[in-house]
This record gives sequence, structure tokens and C-alpha cells, in this order.
Amino acid sequence: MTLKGFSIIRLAIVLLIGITTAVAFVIGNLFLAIAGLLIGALFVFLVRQQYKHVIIDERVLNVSGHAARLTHLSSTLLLGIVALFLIFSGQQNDEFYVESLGVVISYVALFNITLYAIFFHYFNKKYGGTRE
Amino acid sequence: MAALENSIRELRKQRGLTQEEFAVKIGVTRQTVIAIEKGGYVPSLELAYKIARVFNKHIEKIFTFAE
Repeated sequence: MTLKGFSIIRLAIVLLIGITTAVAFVIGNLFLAIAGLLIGALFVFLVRQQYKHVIIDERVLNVSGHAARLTHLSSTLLLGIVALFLIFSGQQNDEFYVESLGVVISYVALFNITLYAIFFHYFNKKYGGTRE
Repeated sequence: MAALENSIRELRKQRGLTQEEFAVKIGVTRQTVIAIEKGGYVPSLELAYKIARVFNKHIEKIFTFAE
């Protein structure tokens, strides 16, 4: 199997998962959504087993690292700003639900930062980083 | 600005290897071979050793540090 063939099959599976999940949500069938996701993941895994060549190498990991760091930075910043806006807006207009939503989003932002810190600590240790 | 230049393209062509074949030999994707040949990506020391082993040359004969 060529890389192009593998990419096309993977894209087709992802599209099928998306359609199945969308249909499942429309008809309100959670079981179908979960089953669609699991079967899709299994198919991607099986197709990946058939493709023997390297897909992820050090350059791809490098690029992924940069992209992940930027995504984390921008999403956390955005969540923080939205949370602050909702909290202050809710307090000024006496809208309890808006304020609560802001608090929930701020917790999501904090969770994001915590998760990043945990993974950073783990990989820093794995790749020989010390605190000396 | 300092840059790490390499002669991978020439060495690969001398040995009649395609980018795909060379990528399989060093365990990376073809896109990575293209990026290294163009100088857009500097390989790790481990990968540089693998490249040197394929060409049976010392690393410093393949990669040169140009200032």
C-alpha cells in the first residue's frame, strides 16, 4: 500500500465516523455514536498495520511539538479571556448562569494548564531534564 | 547566520537511490528526506549517524557547518 492509498483510506474512514456520529446525534442514539467511533478506530488501526512504511519520524514529531505548543498557548489564552469576560459580564448584569459558565470555562483553562504541566514534567524527566 | 549544509542529494544520486528508497533505509518519511536535502530541517545526531552509515562516510564529510 502506498502512502497516498493509506491517506485516502484513512480520510474515508474519518469521514464515515463523522457521518455516523452526526446521524447518531441527530437521532439521539448514543450507542451508535460510540460504536461508530470504536469501529472506525479499529479500522484505522487495521489499515495502519497493513502500511509498513514510516509515517511518523523525528521531523513530524518536531512539527507536532511546535503545533501543540502554539495550540495550547492560544486555546488557553482564549479560554481565559472568554472566562474573564463571562464572569465580569455576569456579575455586572446579575446573570448567574453567565457567571457560572465563566467559572466553568476558567476551570477548563486551568485544567489545560495543569495537564500541560504534568506532561511537560513527565517528558522533561524522560528526556533527562533535571532541576539542578 | 550559521547554517548546516549537506551533500546528501549528490551522494544519494551517486548511489542511484531515489528519495523513497533512501527514506526507507534511514527510517524516515520521504518528506523528511526532501526537507533535509533542501536544508529546511537539520536532522538529529542519531539520524545523521544513520545517514552517514548508509553512505559509508564520516558525518563531517556529509554535513558542513557554514558560517
